[in-house]
This record gives sequence, C-alpha cells and structure tokens, in this order.
Amino acid sequence: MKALAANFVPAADEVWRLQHGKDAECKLFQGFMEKGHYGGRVQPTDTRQGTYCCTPSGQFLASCNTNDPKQMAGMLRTALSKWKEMTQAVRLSSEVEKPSEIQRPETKYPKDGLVLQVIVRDLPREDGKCPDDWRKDAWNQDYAWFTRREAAQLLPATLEVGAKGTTPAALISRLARAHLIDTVRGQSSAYQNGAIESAWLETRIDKIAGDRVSLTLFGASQSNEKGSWSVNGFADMNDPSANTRGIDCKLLGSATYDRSKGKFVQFELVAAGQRHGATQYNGRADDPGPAPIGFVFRIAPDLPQNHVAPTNFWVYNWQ
Amino acid sequence: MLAVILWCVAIQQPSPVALTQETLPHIRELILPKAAEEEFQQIPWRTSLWSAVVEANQKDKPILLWAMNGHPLGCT
Repeated sequence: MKALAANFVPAADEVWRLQHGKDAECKLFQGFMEKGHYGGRVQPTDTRQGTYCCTPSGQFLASCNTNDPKQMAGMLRTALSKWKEMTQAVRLSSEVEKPSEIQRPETKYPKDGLVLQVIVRDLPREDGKCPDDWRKDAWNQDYAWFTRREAAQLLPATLEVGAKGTTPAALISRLARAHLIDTVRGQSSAYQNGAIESAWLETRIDKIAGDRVSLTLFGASQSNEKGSWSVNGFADMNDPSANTRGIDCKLLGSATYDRSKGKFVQFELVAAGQRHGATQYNGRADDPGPAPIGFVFRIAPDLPQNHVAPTNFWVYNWQ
Repeated sequence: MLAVILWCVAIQQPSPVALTQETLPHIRELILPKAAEEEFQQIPWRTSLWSAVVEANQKDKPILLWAMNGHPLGCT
C-alpha cells in the first residue's frame, strides 16, 4: 500500500468545509466529488467523505470509502491507470497558485505558543466489560492551541520555587469545553458554555535550573450538559430525545518552561475520570456509562502534520 | 487460599481512574497510542487539499485525498 501511495501526493482534509466552502480549494473538490462513490447521495446524509484520487487540474480519477486494504489498493491502481492515459495538458493546471481567499483555521497556528496533541481513550473498567470488537481499542486525537500570551498565563506570577499559579478561568474552561469531550469512538460536539460546572488548573514551581522552570500541574473538571439531541447515528437522527452527557475528571501533569525561549519545552497533562452520556456520532448509544475515560495532552512537535487546527476551533473565538 | 491472596491483591490495586502521582505513569501508558496504531502517520499526509494540488502540479503527480468529517489527522 505504501509503495502504491508513493505514486501520489497524499493529503488529508476535512470534508464538510470542502463540500460547502466557496474558495478555490473547495470548488476544486466540488468539481469532482459527485463523480465519486457517494455522488448524488442525500440519505442518510449528504456527506462525501472517503478517499479520492484526482489530478491537480481537478479531474476525477477514482474513489472509495473503505478500510479494506485490497479495495483501497484496487482503487489506487485504477487511478494510476487513468492518470497515465491523460495528457499533461489535461491533468495539470496552469492556474495553480495559492489563492489569497483560502482562509483555513490553520493560518492561526500559534508557532510561538503552545501546541498540544490531545489523545483520548477508554480506561479499563472495573467490571472488565467492553465490546469485543474495534471499540475496545478505539482512541482519537485532536490538537489544543495556546497563543504565546495564553501559554505564559499558565505560569505563576512569580517564577520562584514554591510559587503557585491559577490558570485563568477562560483558558481552563475552553480546554474543558473544546477538548475534554468523549470522542473515543467518534466525533462529538463541544460543550455549551454553561455545561462546565467546574474547571480549574493550578501550577506549582518545583525547581528552577538556569532558564528552566519545572512545574507540577493539577486540577479537575466537571461538565454536565442537558438537552435534546440524537444519540444513535442515523437511527434516531430525526428523533432527538432528552439526554445528558458529561465528563468528571482529575488533571495531573508536569511542564518545563524555558525563560530564555519564552515557551514551554515540555508539557504533559493527563486527565482521568468518568464520562457519561452519548451524542449522535460518538458510538455510545448502547454504552452511555458512567465509565472510565482518559486524556493525554502533550507537546506536538512543530511538524506539518501537527498543524491541524483544533476540531472545535470556533470555541476559541480567536480573531 | 489462592483465591484469598488474589482477592487481597485485587483490593489493593487502585481504581484505574484514580489519578495520583503514583498512578500517573500507568494511566498515561494506557492512553497513549501504540506504534502500530500510528502507522497511518507513516504516509506524509499534507494537511490541506490545496497544498497537495500545488505540489502535485509541480511534480506532475496525481493526488490521493483522504477526506473525512473531522480532519483525518485530527478528530474524526
């Protein structure tokens, strides 16, 4: 598969924006998406998610939506065959340059701030019960961003051993709303602002060695949202019901801030506790808990693949 | 006798979600992905369709696009 894929320039992207946006990038996708595996489909949804092969000029080559390696390999071979039949004039574009109107949240990537990879997974249950399929190994990831100024607000006001700091409510609340979410088995929306019943994070300086300030992080978060929504994918998508959902967890970790660089050079925060409830696409309809869940927030190296914006970036309200 | 010993050992084990400085390393390891779970990242995915379009046009190569509800390299 990797050898086949090496014939392509691989890209991963979010499909809703590509389907509905109006810039050149979205229009290019919209120009071929109806020729793919979900072309014309409107039920149960109109999503066009999947794997596509296309030319830089926007010509459709092949597509599928599968995790079966044989089907995927077959699709890639079909695409390569069609590509080779095309002339350069057809497959390439003379108008490709980065259009200024493309506005992606990734343009807000806080290069000089703090970028964390967020990993979420179920923790072992005391009763040992878990479906014996892909769900027992399910995990998900996201990214959490802090500007340089926000990251500095995680520090105590005075940088001396024993000093304690309290993370501003707006920052820890944002973390709880946008990132302490049960997405282990699939997407789930951010919490409404009022759903965060309690969220706090404190820091304590344990050691200072030269420019390096070592801290312990500790806190807790409780969210509880009530409302009416669907919880079972397509099955109840037109029949929402009264539901609750939430996370009740402790936070604990460590960090190192480099004063000369003005940034964190090490940061790892673990959250562990109980989740309850379900949302439409997070696969908990038959497993609403309460049950254990865990999160790790750790520094994401400044690599291109780590520049993906937080899923619930709208919660950040960055201008 | 064995059952009693196992029971005693079991009740001394902290809850898997009791997060303390002592349990932190274990809980961390339970959550973090294993190498096999991150194999998809061995493919050098560009993080936007357009960046791949520009590069593919320069290299005269086709584009492989993985498009999902939720960014595939983020939360899907």
